[in-house]
Amino acid sequence: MLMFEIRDFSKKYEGAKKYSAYKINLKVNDGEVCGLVGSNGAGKSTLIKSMTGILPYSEGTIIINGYDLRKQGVKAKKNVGYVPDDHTVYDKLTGREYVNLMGSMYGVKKRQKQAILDSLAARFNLTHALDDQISSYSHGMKQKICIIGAIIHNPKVWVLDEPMVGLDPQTMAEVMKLIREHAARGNCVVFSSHNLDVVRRVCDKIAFIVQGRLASVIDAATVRNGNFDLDAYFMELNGQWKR
Amino acid sequence: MEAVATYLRLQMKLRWGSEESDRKSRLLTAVVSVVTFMVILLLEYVLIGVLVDYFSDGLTSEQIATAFMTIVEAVLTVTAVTAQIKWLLRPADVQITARFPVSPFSMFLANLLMIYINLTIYSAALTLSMMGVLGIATGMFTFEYFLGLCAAALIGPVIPFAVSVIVAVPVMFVLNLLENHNYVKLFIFILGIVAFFVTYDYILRMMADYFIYQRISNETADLWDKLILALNSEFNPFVYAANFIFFRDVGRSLIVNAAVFAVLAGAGMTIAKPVYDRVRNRALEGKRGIFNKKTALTSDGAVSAVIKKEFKEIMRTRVYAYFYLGIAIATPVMVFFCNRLVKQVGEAQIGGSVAFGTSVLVITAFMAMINVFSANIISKEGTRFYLTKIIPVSFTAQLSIKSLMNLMVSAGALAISCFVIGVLKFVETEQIFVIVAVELVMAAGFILNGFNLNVRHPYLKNKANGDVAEINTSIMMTIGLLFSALLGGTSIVLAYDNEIKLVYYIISAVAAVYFLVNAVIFFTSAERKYNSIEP
Repeated sequence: MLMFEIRDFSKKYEGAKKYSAYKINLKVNDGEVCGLVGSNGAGKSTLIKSMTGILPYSEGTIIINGYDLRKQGVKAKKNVGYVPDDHTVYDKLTGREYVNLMGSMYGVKKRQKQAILDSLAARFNLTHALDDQISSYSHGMKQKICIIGAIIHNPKVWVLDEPMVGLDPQTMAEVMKLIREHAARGNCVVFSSHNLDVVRRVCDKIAFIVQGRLASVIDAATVRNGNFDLDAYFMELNGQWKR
Repeated sequence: MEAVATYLRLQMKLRWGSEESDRKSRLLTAVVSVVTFMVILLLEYVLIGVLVDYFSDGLTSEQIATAFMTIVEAVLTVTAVTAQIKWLLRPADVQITARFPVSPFSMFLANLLMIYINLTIYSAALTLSMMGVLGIATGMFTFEYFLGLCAAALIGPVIPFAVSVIVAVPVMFVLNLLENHNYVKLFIFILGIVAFFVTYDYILRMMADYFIYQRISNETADLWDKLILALNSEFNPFVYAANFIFFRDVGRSLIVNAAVFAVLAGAGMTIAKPVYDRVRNRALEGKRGIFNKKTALTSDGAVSAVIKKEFKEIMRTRVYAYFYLGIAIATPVMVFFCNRLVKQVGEAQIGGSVAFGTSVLVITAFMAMINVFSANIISKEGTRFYLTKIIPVSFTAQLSIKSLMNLMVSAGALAISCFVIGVLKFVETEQIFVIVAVELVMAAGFILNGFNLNVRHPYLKNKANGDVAEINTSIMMTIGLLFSALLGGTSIVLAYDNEIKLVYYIISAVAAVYFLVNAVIFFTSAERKYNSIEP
């Protein structure tokens, strides 16, 4: 079932001469994990911020679980969980207060909050710090609390911008597992990453963004079974690969 | 020593280094600074003139000058303690400076020197302006007097600095004890506001007595005389700085300053250095565990979740919003003092009918003050702005929740203020109801006006605590004060002509139109403007 769709999406920032994203079309079904790959400034974050409702856009359509983000913004956003690349949160709150706030915003009841928070905090080894103010958290801990806050409402579409940055190997493995589990429950996950190894291991499909355009979408299974050299293709797309 | 000098130069550059700016803005800044300085000097001249007139002829100009120099020294001491805490005991740059191949003692010394230099600049500015104005007001300003002021300005920071080295440590310990005890701090802050207003009220009433009734209370004059004489006592260590103004007892004064400095600064260094080391280490280890609070998860809806979050942030931030919450709570006290003062002045000039108008004037000003930070509602989110965009709550709904919170605070402050002026019979019962209705509508208008302003001109580059005192808040404050003058002024003038019913209609109409215009703008365009913000 189609969970997330981008149709003819283009985005030009106010005052900019060039499009940061141009005529992008992408479909992600339930159970799928889609990786967005591209060099710095390729337009991944623009795409991600637009699909979560942060950036306004005037061209194209973004459909989330059947809701048009522009026309039915509130309903569409109820189906999205977002983890930003800079993990900025309300750092005057404690970790538990932040997760409670995010849950309340999505109408999550206390019991469900408790169950998800207990489980994820244990998996991320964050239980001991839940009642500490977030401003005292390390880089990785902030990323973890962001992730918990983003999926406390069990979103249909989980969007992550560079989720692995700053995480220790154990937490990275947990996040990758979590992404797969979330998709396996009938949801979909879209994430951007510079780490091709993570993309190779986690994704079902890989979308390559080059200079604001969707260059190609490939099946990640072909990468995993050795029929496709992901690193070489990435370099080639970005014009840096010399044979 | 080279490390100390290098760090000192770095600090000076950071503090006083010029920023890149165009010629026009530099010129504008210079003009504004000069005008502000001239206004301050003029105010000083008027205030000092009044005070000097209060003193009996039995006092000499030197005694008066000594008392004033004590005030300068007291201000310098408070400044020095604040500087010690800010630069030495709560250093923001410790993570950077710890990487330098420099001993902590060198940093300690460089910071102390920086504080001393800073204090000398304050001393020069205060001594030359305040004591200069006093010299003119008392007719003793001569070239010798000016030279004396320069000498006093140089020697002025010695004792305040030495005192601050000792006092800063216990003050900081108290501040640390209060860390995260937000309600206690709020209470102390409110007490401070009230104390400030009591003093302010006293001085203004004294000036009103002097200018309007042309009278000087004997009791007050005697009190001032006694105070001046007490401040001239040899037990006041600041006398030895004032002595330089008149070049009297120079040798003895130098010895006393040097001795007090040696004893206090020596003792202070012995205490402050280990504390500095501990503070530095603590800062280097990070803030982990600085705040720990066990809370339960809840099943709140969006409305109560946002209100709780806003309140927690305000209580834990200690910046502008915290300041304005303090003002909101202290409003009834301030309304009482302002009303009493303005009524006193107004009745002398206009008559008893002025009471209603002065109440409207004062309360409108406070309503504006309480709600001024609604003009910061989006900018306050700073880099966390994206969170307001991803949650499935419309912008209009989010702001309605926040405006409800502002309105609740305004309504509370208004209710108690009206109760106070009602019980004390400043105004009639019928007028209280008019005030409540008009001011609630005005408060809602201020809130919506602030939102409308901020959604058109957001500033989202600020991090963490979020509160920024930007142009939007200044504009809102100006609008608020203009409305205060308009509503209050209209009420005073028309009430003088016994047109009180007309006053009710006019101010109600002004408030209603102001609210409606802003409500229409908000509900028709704010959501669209908000959606177009690109963080």
